[in-house]
Amino acid sequence: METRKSIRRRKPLLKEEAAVETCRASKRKKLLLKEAVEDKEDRLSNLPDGILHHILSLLPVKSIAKTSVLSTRWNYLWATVPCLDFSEFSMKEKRRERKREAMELIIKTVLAARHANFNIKVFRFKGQLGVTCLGDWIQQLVRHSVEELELDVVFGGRFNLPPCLFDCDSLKSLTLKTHHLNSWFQFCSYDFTRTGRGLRSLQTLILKHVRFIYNTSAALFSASSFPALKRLTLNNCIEINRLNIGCPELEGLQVERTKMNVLEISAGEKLKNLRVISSFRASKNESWVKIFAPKLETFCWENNEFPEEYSVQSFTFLKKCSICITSSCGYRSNINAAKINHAISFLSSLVSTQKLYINITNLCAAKYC
Amino acid sequence: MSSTLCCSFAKNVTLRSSDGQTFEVEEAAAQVSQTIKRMIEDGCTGSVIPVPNLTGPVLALVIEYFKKHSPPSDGCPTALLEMEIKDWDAKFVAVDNDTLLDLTLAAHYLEIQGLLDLTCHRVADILNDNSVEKIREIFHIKNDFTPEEEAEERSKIQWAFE
Repeated sequence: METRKSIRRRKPLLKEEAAVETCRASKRKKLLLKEAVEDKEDRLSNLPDGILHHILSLLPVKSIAKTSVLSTRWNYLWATVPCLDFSEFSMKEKRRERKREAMELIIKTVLAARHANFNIKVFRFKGQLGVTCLGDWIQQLVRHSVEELELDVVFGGRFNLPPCLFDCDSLKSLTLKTHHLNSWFQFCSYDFTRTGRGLRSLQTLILKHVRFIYNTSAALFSASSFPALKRLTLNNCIEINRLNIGCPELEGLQVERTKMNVLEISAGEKLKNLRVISSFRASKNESWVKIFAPKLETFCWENNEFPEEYSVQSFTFLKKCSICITSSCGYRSNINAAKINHAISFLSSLVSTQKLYINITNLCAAKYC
Repeated sequence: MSSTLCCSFAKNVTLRSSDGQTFEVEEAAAQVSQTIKRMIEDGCTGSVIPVPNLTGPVLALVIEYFKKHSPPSDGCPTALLEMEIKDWDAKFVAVDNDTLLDLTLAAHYLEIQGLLDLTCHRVADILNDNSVEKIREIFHIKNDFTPEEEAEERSKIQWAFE
């Protein structure tokens, strides 16, 4: 009966009242029928899985878990919900070690209770963790065809990313972050590039505190390994030195505090935003930048040294360019005419930009120019 | 005369609910629904568009939503207008649970993403704000666990109750 009451309550709002009136008899009949079957019962649980999953995905993970005890139907929904977000998970336990153990157990149980045939589209986690656990989770998530994986973890030590991750065709977005000084994700790309593996669907890759172990001549970020990559962020990564990027779909590249002396962007047809901050170091042996990015719109080069060799195709679409040179670039103590020349040739290639910001602070280079 | 008059007004379409009620609505407004948009594009505009999954009263509510959310004819929506629509939305879904579920299903059938998000958020809020027992009561959810089974399920997710 509730349905009819509720509809009546809303009725004065309608302009089509007359039409409603004429059809009231048939409507009543239908409603009665409908009510007998389901309305007095549980209409919420009878909604299609897709809608209920959508509703659940709007809730914090604790609230989703709670609904699993409502009924067997909701228990099933919990075991099949496509989004598991533990990134804002709070716990009473304050002792670090206890907290870590409890967290590991919780997620282990949650993953074990998952329905095998249902994918986990989104998995996010932030917190402390043991490396064994991390490996197990990633393998399970890959089996569940994860599409968005975000791990912001402190584990202490080094963690080799399991090879299965690089066969994960479902993965669209991957974020790996760690903050602790002694924690490093290790990205062993030797097998990755040699065996022709690739993350074919990956569009977003964000790496923080990652150590790359690979043959330096191998072009890790190539068209075959990351054919769909649109956004790449490298923050505080080490042992990369030569960064060669040939991903044809790349639109945004951000490199921050990642030491390198060679930067080559070869297939940047779609590249619009490029930020290189506190990363480029001019090495004596080898130091060059090659950028092919004809559609580049914003370019930010801050706290970097200038390369000895520099080659760019003209940036016809460049709207905003910001160059920041400070003493931390190593110029104050070790400045010479060659370096100044590198800087001038670098800057002169950017004159066509609409807005050019050059910020030179705390540096005697200006008087040489 | 009538043809010039017709042309000076926005084009209308007629929607028919499962119980045979018909409603006239501007074509641009009705296209808030992806399902209806596709039907119009497929050339259904000449005749009446059937909406077999919705009863008249629900369709009437959905049409209210259409009218509020039809793209403004004069340029971009302003921030003020967006605020107003947000307030209106909040009031629109402040209804009893049965109407809320009717609207949810309607949004699903007619592919109205904005309305689906709106109603789902409302249901999610109710689930989030209430205890398990209270949720069962609100939505008439029948607990089909045995007491032992329920205790076992609760123990599995003890962390959620902390």
